[in-house]
Amino acid sequence: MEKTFFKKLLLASASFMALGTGIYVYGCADGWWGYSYVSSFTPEAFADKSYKPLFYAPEEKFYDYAQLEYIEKDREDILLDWQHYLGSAFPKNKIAFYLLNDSAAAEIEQLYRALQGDATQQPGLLASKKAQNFVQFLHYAKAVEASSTTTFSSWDYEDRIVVQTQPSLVADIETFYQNLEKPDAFFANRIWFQVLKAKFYSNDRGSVIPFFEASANKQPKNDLYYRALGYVAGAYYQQSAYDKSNALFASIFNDAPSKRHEALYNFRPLSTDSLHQALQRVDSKAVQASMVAMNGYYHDAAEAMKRIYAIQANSPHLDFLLTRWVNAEESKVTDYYNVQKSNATWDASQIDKETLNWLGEILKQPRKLHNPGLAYLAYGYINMLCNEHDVAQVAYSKAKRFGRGKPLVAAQIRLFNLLNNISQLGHVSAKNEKELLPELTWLYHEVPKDSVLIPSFRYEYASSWIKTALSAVYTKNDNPLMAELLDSKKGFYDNEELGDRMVQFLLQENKSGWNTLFATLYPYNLSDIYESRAIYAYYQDHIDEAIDLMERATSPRMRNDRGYNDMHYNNAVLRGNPFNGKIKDCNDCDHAAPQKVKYTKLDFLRKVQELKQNVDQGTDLYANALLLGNAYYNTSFFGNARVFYYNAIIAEYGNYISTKNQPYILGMSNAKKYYEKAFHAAQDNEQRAKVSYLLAKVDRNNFYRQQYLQADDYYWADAKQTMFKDWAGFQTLKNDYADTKYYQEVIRECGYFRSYVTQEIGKGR
Amino acid sequence: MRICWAILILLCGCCTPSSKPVDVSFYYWKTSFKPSEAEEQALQDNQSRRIYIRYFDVGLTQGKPFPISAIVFKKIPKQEIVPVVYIKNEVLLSPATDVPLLADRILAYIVQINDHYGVTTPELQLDCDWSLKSKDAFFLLVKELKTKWKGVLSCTIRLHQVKYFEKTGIPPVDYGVLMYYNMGTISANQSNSIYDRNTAKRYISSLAKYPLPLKVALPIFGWGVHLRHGKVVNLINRLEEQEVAALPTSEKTEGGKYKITRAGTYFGQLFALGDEIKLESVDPKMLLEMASDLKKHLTQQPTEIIFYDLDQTNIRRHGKDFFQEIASRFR
Repeated sequence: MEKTFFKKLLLASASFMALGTGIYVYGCADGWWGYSYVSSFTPEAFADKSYKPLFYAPEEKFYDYAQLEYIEKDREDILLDWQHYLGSAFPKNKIAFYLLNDSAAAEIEQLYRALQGDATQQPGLLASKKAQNFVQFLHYAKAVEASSTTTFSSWDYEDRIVVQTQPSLVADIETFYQNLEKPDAFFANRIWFQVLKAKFYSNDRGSVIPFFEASANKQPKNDLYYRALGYVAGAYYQQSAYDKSNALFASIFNDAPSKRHEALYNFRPLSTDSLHQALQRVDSKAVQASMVAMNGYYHDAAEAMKRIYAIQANSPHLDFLLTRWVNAEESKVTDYYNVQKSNATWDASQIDKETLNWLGEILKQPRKLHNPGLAYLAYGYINMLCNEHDVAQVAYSKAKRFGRGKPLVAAQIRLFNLLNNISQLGHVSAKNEKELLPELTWLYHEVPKDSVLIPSFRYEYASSWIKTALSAVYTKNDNPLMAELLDSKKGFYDNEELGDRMVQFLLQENKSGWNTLFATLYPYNLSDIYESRAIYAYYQDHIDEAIDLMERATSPRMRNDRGYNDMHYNNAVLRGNPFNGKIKDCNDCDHAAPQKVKYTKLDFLRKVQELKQNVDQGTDLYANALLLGNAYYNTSFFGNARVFYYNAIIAEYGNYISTKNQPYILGMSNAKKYYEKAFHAAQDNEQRAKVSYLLAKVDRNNFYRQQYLQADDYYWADAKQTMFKDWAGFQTLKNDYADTKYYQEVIRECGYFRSYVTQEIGKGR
Repeated sequence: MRICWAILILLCGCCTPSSKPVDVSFYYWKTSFKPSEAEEQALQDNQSRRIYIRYFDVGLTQGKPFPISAIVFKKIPKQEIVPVVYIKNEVLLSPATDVPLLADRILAYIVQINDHYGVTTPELQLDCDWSLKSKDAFFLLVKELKTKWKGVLSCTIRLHQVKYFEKTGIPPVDYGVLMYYNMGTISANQSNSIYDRNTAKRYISSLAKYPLPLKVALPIFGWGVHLRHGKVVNLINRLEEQEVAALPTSEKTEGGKYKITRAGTYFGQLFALGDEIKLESVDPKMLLEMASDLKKHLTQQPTEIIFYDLDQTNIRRHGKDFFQEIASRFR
């Protein structure tokens, strides 16, 4: 039984709080990769982990999907507290068992009965006063737990129904607490907490308020104190006394960092006027600042920051709001919802300039702030997005003074300086290359391996933005090669001359450091280029050239490391026999069929070369032409060897083939050419029957291409659409070769042909 | 990678006599069952034989599936109860979810609720916006439930699941309920995320060949979409236009939205200056349009029209005889 009653106690304390507001979040699972892909400002660098759930989260309810459940952590705390208190007075494993395990209930009650009875008959376990206290505590805690078991997570329906603490139990514990003689502070504190808990889960929730007020000053301000304060706040909340509950949640937020998330969740946001009134009823400046900060979380962070600054300039709560403000402003420029639109220039028209100016004003006295480094970086970063590069640079260098010894802050400054420099480039000089190279090497090669930075540091967006921006600079300076290298565009290789230049570039042995860096980041390598060219040469029936290129398309290890599988390059194996021509196109069947010879892409091309030579020389023309026709058929979209055209640059892996590649991949002209040669060379009707049918398949594919496959919105052909016609091949087969064995085979296997023969010609369906 | 040219056998549309009545029933989607007088009256007026009650949601808590907001019956309905369990897509997307165990737990939980209140339920309905990625897990869940649950098993069907059924498959249930609403993303721009005839048109023709018997669920609800800087902040359920119009601190904009002219708390929500409210609902004309469009494309007459959802605001908006009128359009 893993279910623990303390778990329930703790959950209950969280769940009473779950009354507050929540922001409606709707699913946007696809396309969300993480903060690093849409942002360059890492809030983790600037505020401690108690604020983490409250950082800016564009999609989800709380940052990083933080949950309002702290079971594991609190379990640990409770156990340690009691172990420390009991020392050797109680066996350690028993403490854990009694505290954390439901199945201990019977034993606890047995011990409790012993405690109530004849002291001399007590088992050895209860020898010390501390042990007796422990049992007494367990007895009450367990009884209260029965009514505080509203759990979030149980498949037991009864577990969900709240049973209120009975008044007699409340009175019992309260009396016990009041009558404690020579109170043992640790024990008294825990019983005090049980009184509050019992009251909170009773039918008189409001009774926690006077009890707390009368007794709290005798209690240490420990974790239990703030949990108890949470009960009081919850009681006020239930009475709709939100000004009071808000003030208490604000004080929890301020004084108990581990409870910030819950306190904020249960804080009821206020309008500007109500907030103003509420602040007047709170004395402590720190609590006032907390209240404004929590309100600012829900509502207008900028206004809240200004107000906090006026109340208490060095409030730490200003920091998390400032990170939220920066992330929100940044999202107006970097666009959280369209990650791909990383333009080279920033559009700052939506930026909140007024708050930015305010930030500039308060930075005239940086020492008044809790985290001046954050303020400088925020100011610099947003100014940079407004293309105020000089202001940004000054701010970054000032921030440096405050971020010493913090790797995340140092990385953040380095990244911002890099972005600032790149965004000002008009062209890339040798001097620029020299200065930027170590920074870019750091970003692309060192940061991804840095275990200290990686969990939170946001560098992915900057990584891709820098490439796009540099590419734009190169385009402007008429350097299409470098532009492609930094930001590859589809269709680059359509220009043969540029393609050749890229090949020459990649072949260079002694590249500069700058060129080497970007060659390693380029998504394609020489083998991709050779292979794509080999494939196009093949479709154009230039087999010798195709072989020469394919021989060079070897599989470099680096590619495998990046996750490319063996579908690529010259040793990729074709899945079926590409020289077969069956009646039915069933690629899965062909792939599953036993094959004596397996062809790689290169083997395949060499075999095609051999067949072609035979055809050219007129050797066994029928058979060789037929096999060539089959080869071209199978290496089309319709055949069993699609793997042949799989290539990173060609990038056709699906059911929709781009317009540019349709003539090759959907094209049937080569297959038709060789089938026709075979037909003319055929020596008997069986052979002619076969080729006629294969030509009908060619016609069918051409029809499907024209009618369906090349349409932009093609999804699926359905029953109402025409699936076959009276193709010439069908007609020839029916009219001229009905007496062949092959005709009978087609009748058996091909439903379309059967329908064609039995229906009136030309109707189709 | 076989090329699958779908050859479909067209089901012969069997002409049912047009006199067969179409039942009217409702979904009940609150966490506590205590119908108001008006709601009880609606059930009675429409001689509803069944009421589809959301029993609980299943969502992930710390990575594991758990029931959320289980129903509490303050009153036991006179109608036959059909428990509806909403399974969040995240549950089925999680590779950690043990689907057969989930099926057991769902059934045991329903039995426990039924025992607690002394009710019996001969049917179970699943509601899940399964996607291509979660399809396999959802179908497995349905199969598991089918073997373990002795009664009728049904599920809701969304339009996109009808359109691409060759690709997405048909859940192995006894029948489906076509949800003819929630057609788009909730946003500032789309005209109406509850119902949009143009969107519906893209899907509706596929109904003719959908092989599963279908009941039809139609929307009668409305909501306000709370917008800030053009982004959705919140949904305010059952918000009526006159409530917003009556607010002295709101003004109607040219686009038909309402702009908040003074920050404050309205309808239980905190509004900043300049926030907007966009009201979305369906009016009787739209519902009649839905009925005639659906009638045209469904090959079989649905036995039942289920309105979403039973709530006095929704009932009041449409009037008491309206539901029967809509249902009769399907005959």
